[in-house]
Amino acid sequence: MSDITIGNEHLDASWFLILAALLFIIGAIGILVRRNPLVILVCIELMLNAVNLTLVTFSRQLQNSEGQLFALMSITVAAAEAVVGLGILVDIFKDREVEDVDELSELRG
Amino acid sequence: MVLIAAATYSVSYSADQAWSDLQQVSPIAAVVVALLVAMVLDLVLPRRAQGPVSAAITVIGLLASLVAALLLIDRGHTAYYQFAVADNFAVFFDVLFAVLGILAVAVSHAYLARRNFLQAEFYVLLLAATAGQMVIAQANSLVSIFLGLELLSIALYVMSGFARQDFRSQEAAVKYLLMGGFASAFVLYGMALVYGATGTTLIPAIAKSLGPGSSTNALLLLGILLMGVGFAFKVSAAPFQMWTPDVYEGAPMPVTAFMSVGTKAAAFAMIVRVFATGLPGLSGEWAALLAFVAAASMIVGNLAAIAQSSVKRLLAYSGIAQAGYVLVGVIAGGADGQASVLFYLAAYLVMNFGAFAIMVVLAGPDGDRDRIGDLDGLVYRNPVLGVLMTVFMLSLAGFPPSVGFMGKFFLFAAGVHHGFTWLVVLAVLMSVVSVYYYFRVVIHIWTPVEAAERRLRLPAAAGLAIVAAGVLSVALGIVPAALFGLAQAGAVPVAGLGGG
Repeated sequence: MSDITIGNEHLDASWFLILAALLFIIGAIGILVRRNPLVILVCIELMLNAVNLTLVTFSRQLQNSEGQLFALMSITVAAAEAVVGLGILVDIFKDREVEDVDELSELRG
Repeated sequence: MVLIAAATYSVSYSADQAWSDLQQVSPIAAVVVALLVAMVLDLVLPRRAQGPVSAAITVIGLLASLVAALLLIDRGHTAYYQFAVADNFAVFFDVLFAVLGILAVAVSHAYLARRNFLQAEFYVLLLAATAGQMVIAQANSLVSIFLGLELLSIALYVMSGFARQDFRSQEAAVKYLLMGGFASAFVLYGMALVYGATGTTLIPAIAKSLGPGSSTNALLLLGILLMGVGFAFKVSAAPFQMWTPDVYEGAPMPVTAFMSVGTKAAAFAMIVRVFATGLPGLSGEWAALLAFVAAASMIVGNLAAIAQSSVKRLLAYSGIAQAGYVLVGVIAGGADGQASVLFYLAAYLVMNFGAFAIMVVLAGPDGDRDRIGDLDGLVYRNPVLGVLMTVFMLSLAGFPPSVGFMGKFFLFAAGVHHGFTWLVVLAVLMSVVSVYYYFRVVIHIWTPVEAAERRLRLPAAAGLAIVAAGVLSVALGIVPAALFGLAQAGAVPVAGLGGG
């Protein structure tokens, strides 16, 4: 049941889930430790793609297409988010070079 | 080689079915049509006409959406292979979001002209965000909830950065984008794990799949935890509230007004739908998680609000505290708990939007005036605004006979009824603390100003919206039965959850 077959290779589905979890954690740690807003955006994309891998694995494991549908939706959403995110960053870079999100500190009560 | 079975859904999809499905999501459809029309007209119309025409189209679209929602009362069912639903719960939120959108247009119109902002783009984004809120309200599957959430969030990222010349606005947009994206990833991962544990993304099917062993299913519990973290971010509850004050302060005032109510109501619609409807068998687990979040929000929000010198930040922290109060109703559960949540969100719409709307009117051509000192002598500069701002502050603090008082009463009564007395005691204590900072604002409003400052001109549309919000804040407090009846009708029938 939890076997996933690619060609002639049989792999346990949990390997895919563990890989996805690792990618998600790497992305989350990246957001917490890196300061460049562009890199943070890349880390968010990494997290979203880790989830896509999880969804597709579950879909395959459960013999149920809803997970693939979800992954397609999430890819589309991630693309929209990346476009808007880059747009906002380009807009702010035009005024000043922001290499560190800690420089964004005008708003502090 | 394993193939994916696509037999879950029937292949034939008749025209009748399509028409019936479309009717069920007609409130969303009206908003989307208005969005497309406004976007196209923006391209062909001369620059001067763009603003008023887009505003008119937005209002017409939202009114159509409001009517469409009202027509669906008691007649809704699931649509699009159960991915959407138009039950009374969804309709209640559709109406709330349509009203919010109309109020937002009324308040923003003069502001946009005064600050020389792009008008048509603003309304298109407002419609996109409203459509996102309605998709969340009508969602019946984790997939559609995620789509609505992102439609709302992405539109709001752009709206927060709408004052492009203002570095603070740009900063708000970047912070909101990075924090919001982070939270979305958590929500999505949580949803993926719940899907993996239950084998479905449809919320009623998730509820059905929960068995006696579910409370020890690690995958499911981790999914609930991750979704809870993401939802707490979106609803700006502590300890995930840190983006809220910065984004509220940096975003242009009408955007702050819109999102302070919109994101909160949408996020609560999402929380009730996913947790109360989808995971009723695990209410012990998620209620414990939310009780911690509620307690933290009430403490952090109220204590931090005391020290603020900006009205935007003060209202941001007050909103964090208010999220904590509303969570009491969610945790209590049952029909009365849910009805109290719906009632409070409607109350929050009139009082919180009203307060922000007055701040919108105060804004000058160069920027928002959001220092508490900017409110000095407001009642002498414009008696109507001064009195109404006092009403909104007293309502937010929960003084009778305001709608805020009745809302808190229903929430806390539901909390006590379902055995969360400790949380209610904390909420009442923290409400007492909140009186201090709301009264600080009131004192500034009534402080006599030395020099005869110029009187404040009130644009007609904004004035109408503010007065309507003010009248409702008092009227619904004196006669809460009508709204509470609607809220009770809107509570989702929850299988197997205590109370009733």
